[in-house]
Amino acid sequence: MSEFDLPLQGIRVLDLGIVTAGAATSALLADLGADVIKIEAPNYIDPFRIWADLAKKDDWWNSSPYFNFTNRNKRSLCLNMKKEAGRSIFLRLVAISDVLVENFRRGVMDRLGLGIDVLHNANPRLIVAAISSQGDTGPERDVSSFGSTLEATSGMACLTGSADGPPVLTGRDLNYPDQVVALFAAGTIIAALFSRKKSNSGVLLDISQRELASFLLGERFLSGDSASTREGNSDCCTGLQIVGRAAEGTWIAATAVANAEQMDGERSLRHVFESPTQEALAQLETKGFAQSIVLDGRAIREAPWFSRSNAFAAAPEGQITKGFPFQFRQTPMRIARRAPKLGQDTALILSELLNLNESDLMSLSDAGVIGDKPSGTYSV
Amino acid sequence: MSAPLEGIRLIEASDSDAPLHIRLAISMAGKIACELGADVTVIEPHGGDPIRKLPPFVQEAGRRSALFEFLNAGKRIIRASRLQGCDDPAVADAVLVDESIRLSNRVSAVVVSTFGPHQPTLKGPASELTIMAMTGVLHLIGKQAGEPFRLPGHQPAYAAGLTAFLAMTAGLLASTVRIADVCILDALLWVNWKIIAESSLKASASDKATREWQAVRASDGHVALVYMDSDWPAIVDLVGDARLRQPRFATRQTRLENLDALMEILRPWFAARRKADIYREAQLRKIPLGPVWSMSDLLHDAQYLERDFLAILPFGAMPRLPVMWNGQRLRAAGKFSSELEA
Repeated sequence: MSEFDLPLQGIRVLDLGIVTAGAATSALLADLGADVIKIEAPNYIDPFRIWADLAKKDDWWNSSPYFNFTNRNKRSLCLNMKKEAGRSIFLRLVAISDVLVENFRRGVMDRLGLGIDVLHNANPRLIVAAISSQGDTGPERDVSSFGSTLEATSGMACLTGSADGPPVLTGRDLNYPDQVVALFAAGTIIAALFSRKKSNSGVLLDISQRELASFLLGERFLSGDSASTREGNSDCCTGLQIVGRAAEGTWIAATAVANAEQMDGERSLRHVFESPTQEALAQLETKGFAQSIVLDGRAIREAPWFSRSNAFAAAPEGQITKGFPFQFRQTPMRIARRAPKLGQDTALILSELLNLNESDLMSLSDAGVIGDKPSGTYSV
Repeated sequence: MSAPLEGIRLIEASDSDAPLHIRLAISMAGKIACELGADVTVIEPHGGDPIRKLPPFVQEAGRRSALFEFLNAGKRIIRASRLQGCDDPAVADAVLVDESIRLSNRVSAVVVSTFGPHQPTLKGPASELTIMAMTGVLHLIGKQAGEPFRLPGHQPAYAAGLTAFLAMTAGLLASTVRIADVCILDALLWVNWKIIAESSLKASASDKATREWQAVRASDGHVALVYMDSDWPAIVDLVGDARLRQPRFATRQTRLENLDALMEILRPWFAARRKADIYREAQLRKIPLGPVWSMSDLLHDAQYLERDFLAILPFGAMPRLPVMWNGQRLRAAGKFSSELEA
């Protein structure tokens, strides 16, 4: 490794991650320099390829912005592991890889004949990150959920919203627990890679998204706060804090920070929020408040600071894509490749890593073991 | 089994003027490293860490901050008048600092700030709430009830803390010294990326689409009604009301158009049942809805008990790190060692 390499240069990741939790974990590893091979099957593609209500065009499965934002910097292998030949190719890849990421429903890997014993038998140094809603064990390991379900069952939703209103979910557009688990899982996988230098042995990391959501409210558990009351937008750690509506209907968030003018409650700010937006912002600033308009997607894109944000970047062909949650000063992370089309790197990966020749690839393709199109029925 | 980061020396240092969210982010990153076995030293500014005085408090005599204890259990805490020079390879393998700390660039460092050095035009005070406003998080959560609501606790700081932990481990694995910039704005915007992906679709999600998933009242609390289009037949079967078979509820689009009418039919069914019973019936049909549990409900949660997730202390519960390492929890959390050392 040279000083110009990213930290995970030389690390190979097999990515069975789907939607956000697993796929975004592997994307972070790719950003940090790992060779990430995203594996889907002709009869099972990442549901994010279908998530958008896309027009029926010839290659709709390569058009979803959700998929394309999440899977840039990866290569794509389309391999049917339900077929014996596919499973055997997969295990040959396991033998020469460092990390495997999966977030299927519990039991899927076992049913594919790819349980942890089989994987570690193929490669005792493999780091397996199993990311799931509830964890790999326990009475609720098999329950169905999305990120917002876990907000409810982790204690998060009961603290969100106003004291006299119902609990509030972040919903389909955020699914908060799905996003943060990728940051945690990627960091944990790298800690395991670091540890493997000494131990020389692999590990199963069993990561529960629901536990992470509760962990991120740790102080509320520790305080024995059995009431779990919703606080609206106030925060017991700050001074007066409010989201108010200016004259034009614009929502403005404001927090009294150090040296703010003494206020005796929300009522004293009422006249501020009766003003037009710009005037209200100026008044809040004068009174010593941190403040911002509540921005929507379009307003964020139009904000003068947006183009400098690391969180979004341009893919090589110029289209906007997900960027990075942080950046290095030396050797910055970059988007080296756009999200792959289904199976676009299959031939290259199998010839380069497993020495398969053209006639091998032809027969695998004829047998439906590899491909570059979805073969199942998908509702678009 | 030795802990994964055993032998790693990590130093946290932040100036007494650093904003709360930066202090919390640094503390969260250090906490995860500490639970993974790193030897973490916090250099506390003179006058003490302001978090020591912040709520919520532990329910016992005295006002011990649960926020401080949660973040600092297991760390070594020292006070020093001079924070500069903490990135000395003789004492640290990596440091987590705020932007006021001058670095000698001799060990890998993670520098946490609000906006980052790449945003010279963004100045002035910020809070976790205003960062949620700038990143669209408030906008999204707000759509459900008309009024924007924030995420509970310290999610912007903690999301940045998870990011700082990732940057720190990546720095440890690198062969040369790496300086990483973590800023709360970028970390939270990265988390809320779908708001930008959505804006590249020709039809953006309607307000009703974000209200599609909502908390519905049960007889003893609330249930989060979460489902995908493919779960609809199961919902019809669960509730068993013939009106749900009307054409106006046949597709996701028409259900969104008639959302208020739909909820009128669904609400009484939920209101007549206990949340645990609804959960059980829904799971039999693989519907991904879930009960809204409180902190005290979770102390008795079968899943958390089986996985030994919460360390139960006399006054509250300490969540352990949300990962099992080869089937084991890493180390016993819950021991207060946040008293000052000489």
